[in-house]
Amino acid sequence: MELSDEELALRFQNGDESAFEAMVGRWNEPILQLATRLTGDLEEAKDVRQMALLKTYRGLARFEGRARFSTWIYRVVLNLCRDKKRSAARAHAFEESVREREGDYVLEETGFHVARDREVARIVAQAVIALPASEREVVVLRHYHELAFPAIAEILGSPVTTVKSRMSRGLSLLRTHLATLET
Amino acid sequence: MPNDDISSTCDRVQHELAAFLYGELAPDACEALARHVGGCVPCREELAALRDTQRLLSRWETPAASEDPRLLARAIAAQAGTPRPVGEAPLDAHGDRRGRLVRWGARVSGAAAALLFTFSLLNARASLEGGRLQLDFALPGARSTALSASMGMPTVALMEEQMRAIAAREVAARSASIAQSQEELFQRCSQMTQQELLRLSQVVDYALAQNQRTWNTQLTTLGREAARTDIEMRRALTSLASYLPDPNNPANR
Ligand SMILES: [Zn+2]
Repeated sequence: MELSDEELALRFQNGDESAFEAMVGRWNEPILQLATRLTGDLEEAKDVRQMALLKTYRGLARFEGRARFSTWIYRVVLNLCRDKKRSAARAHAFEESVREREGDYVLEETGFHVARDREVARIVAQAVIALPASEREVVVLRHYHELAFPAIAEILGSPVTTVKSRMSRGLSLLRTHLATLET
Repeated sequence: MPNDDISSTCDRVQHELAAFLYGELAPDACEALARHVGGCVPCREELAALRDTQRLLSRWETPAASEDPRLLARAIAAQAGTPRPVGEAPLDAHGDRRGRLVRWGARVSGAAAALLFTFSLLNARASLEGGRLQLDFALPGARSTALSASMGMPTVALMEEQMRAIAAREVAARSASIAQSQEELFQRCSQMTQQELLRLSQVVDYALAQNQRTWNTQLTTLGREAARTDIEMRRALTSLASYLPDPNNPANR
């Protein structure tokens, strides 16, 4: 049976270093994805992940399990991303943060389609990153991390109604941005 | 006023479309929404547009994390500065450290290479047994010729044995401090293995660069210390040699 984050935290507190390895195995990918989508910059995202994992390593000793670990780690990543000032100059890094769906490569073998799919991915990414931070956070957590509104509300420390409104507004903004694209 | 009623219903419905699309609407609210959308063209169009938006969002995928989580975890732990249990070699058994020293000497370029060179200057053969430093002292022919010439001692072969005995005492007196700096060097080398992990995990490039500079500086310092020890030892040996009996003096035969 797979251990919960909280059980792993307890093991780590009791001196089991491998519990941290399990933790990293579980959270490495979600943290990197979240940070990439919030900053739009893969290198910045790796930076955020580094700091978030370091905070985790140091914070686990004091983790009391009053809140769920997932709430805590998402909150850490959000705060780190908010602290990061996005540099507009890093257009190249932005390109790296975009990757079209793998399946498109397999199905569409002509260069034209690959280029087009990549272009779609790039436009979508730009639209998400252009959202106001509060809408962007909710959209990313709901759509890409599949967190329910109450969980997002807990992470953000906001009422569920606020989260719902932000999601609604975020989707509307995206809809306007992406109106020219076919699905 | 029926128009106002309709538009306020539409507002409410459109406000709930996001929750509906993401399956976060209670079943009865879902039913009501579906009923309204079925009979209202603007709301139906809005729902279709948002559904398209939802689909488009899924077209953005980010690159997968390429790092091995285990290495990443170790790199983080190393960066967090966890103390290692004393006397425990980090990855290999004790006896393997010498190989690592040489390997790192080759890899860490200038500083470590200078250190190894300095040890060779000591005219001493250093070997490691169970983590302790053993020193054998020997005067190679060419050097001892030069030494004896400057001290006016013709018979190199004769004094070499005495010289060795004196030097051995001298070296024994110093071996403790040499062993200590050697031990420090091993500590550093073992930490550099963690650094290797940092490199492999490719997540802490900046820390790596910083550590590399730190280690290089410290290795240079160690190299200088070793060089100073070498000079001191030579000076001591020279003065010790002057007390050696002159084999050509009949009084000493
Ligand atoms: Zn309507």
